[in-house]
Amino acid sequence: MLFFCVLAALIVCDATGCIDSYVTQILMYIGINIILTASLNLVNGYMGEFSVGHAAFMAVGAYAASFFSLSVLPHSPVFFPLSLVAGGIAAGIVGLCVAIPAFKARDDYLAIITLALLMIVKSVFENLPWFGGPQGYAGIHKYTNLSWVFVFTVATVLVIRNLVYSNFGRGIIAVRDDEIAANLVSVNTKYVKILAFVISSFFAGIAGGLFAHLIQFINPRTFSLVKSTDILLMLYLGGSGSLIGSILGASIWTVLLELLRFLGIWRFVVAPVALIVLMIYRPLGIMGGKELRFFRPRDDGKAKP
Amino acid sequence: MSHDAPNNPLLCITGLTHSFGGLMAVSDFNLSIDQGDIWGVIGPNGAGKTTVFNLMTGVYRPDKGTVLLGDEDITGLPSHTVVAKGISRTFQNIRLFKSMSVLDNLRTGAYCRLGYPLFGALARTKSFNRMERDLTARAIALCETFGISDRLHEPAASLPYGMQRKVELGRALISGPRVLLLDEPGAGLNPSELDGLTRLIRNVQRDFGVTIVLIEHRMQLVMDLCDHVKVLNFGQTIFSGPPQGLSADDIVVKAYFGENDETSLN
Repeated sequence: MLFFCVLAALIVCDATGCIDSYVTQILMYIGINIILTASLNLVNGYMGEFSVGHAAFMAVGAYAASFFSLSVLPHSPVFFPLSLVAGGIAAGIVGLCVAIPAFKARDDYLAIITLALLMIVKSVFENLPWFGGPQGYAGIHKYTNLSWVFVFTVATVLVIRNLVYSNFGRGIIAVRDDEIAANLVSVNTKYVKILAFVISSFFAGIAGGLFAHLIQFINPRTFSLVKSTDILLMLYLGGSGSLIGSILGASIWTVLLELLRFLGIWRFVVAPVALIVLMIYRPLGIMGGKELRFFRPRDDGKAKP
Repeated sequence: MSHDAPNNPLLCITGLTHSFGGLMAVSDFNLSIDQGDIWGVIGPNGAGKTTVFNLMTGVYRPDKGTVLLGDEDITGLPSHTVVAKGISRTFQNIRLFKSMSVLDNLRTGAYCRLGYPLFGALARTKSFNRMERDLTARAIALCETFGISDRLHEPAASLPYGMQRKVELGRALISGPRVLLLDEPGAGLNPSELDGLTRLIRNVQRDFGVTIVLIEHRMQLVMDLCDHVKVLNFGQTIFSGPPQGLSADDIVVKAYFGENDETSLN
């Protein structure tokens, strides 16, 4: 209900342009960052692994979605969600290809493997002739608007919530707590790990598509380690293992970087210092793994009445 | 389930052998258990008792030998499949999912019993809701039997040691196993808790109809509970029979207390 009211309001805003375009821009960034953070949360928070390759999946999604909207589907905003989903699926497939070998390793090794992936994806897009190479992929239509960002943000949070509070989610969290014991109480650990990773990369791809159709120009350098680090920062700022944490972390970080714009280049010093201070005084992030009642399914943990 | 004839055991292990590098951890281990029995596996530290459990539950693949559950060969199956077939276990040093609530620990134990597809979970379908509700009801009922239902929503790590053992037992039982493997259930319990545990295991065996194999160092528990005992030493089986025969057996006494070396006594 609330969802449809907000959506209706946003469609009106998009149509009339009644919100200042700068504010609109920030709001869309917040939405995209929430999708990125919440999806990374699935792997780094709930599953307790450490992936630094989220920007790579975002890149795959951005390029694939742009390719679909420019060269495959008719040029019309109506087909925009289709190209987004295509971007998500492309990122999911790359995620699957990485997950199968990567989860033979653990901890630090997964970080190294995803770091390698990040470099591979960046150089592939730099060297492929079709997407403008290092000059970047230009001419993307501006299809991203508040309504689409809102719809996909809500969808992401909802899917991840429903996943986490289910048999699969319990399996994912069990892997974090004790993988061997999880396997010995019947959790198919290999399957849940790959599942979490693929879903996480799928939504990173969606976010990439939204991002590409917002700034209308992407190049391989956009999706560097710095981008991954940004997402990691938002995740740990809000507190990993909590959806409301991801939402808060993404919102606060995005707004903070904008508010500090008057500092010029210094904001890239001030913001990380703020983060370090937070880590010292609240090492588990703002939410510390706690979850708002709103994000727990109502009947979770209740028997038949 | 009908009573199996004595020549058709529920769990039948033959010639189980496993070595780590040059160390023979378990050699030619045989075990044949009838429905409803309680077996004890004892032996000094490093005798290969836990390795036997690990071989049965797919943690390691045995070098040689077979494990039959009913008529089915389950040798070397992956762990999660073994549980689905009906063998659950607990651990020597409790391995709960520490950050999860007691309820979620139990529900995770039934991972293999929930048949809804991924889509069911994401779309919260009717069958998803029904299966989750049934499972939750069963988990709560188990907690009530074990007297831990007032701690249902607390993180498992916050419970006292004895209760954690019960959570682990509940987590092993919720998948509805036919065989329950208990790895040192009495470790770290005081004598009065040990009595409680003896009663609990008896009740579990009666109420859940499970067949139990337990590894234990506390002889009191073994004597009170077990119908049969196997003694391992350096991977070899050195005794097999009713627990009353233990103290009379020379080799067992030697393995536990050492040779009666008269020269060193003088």
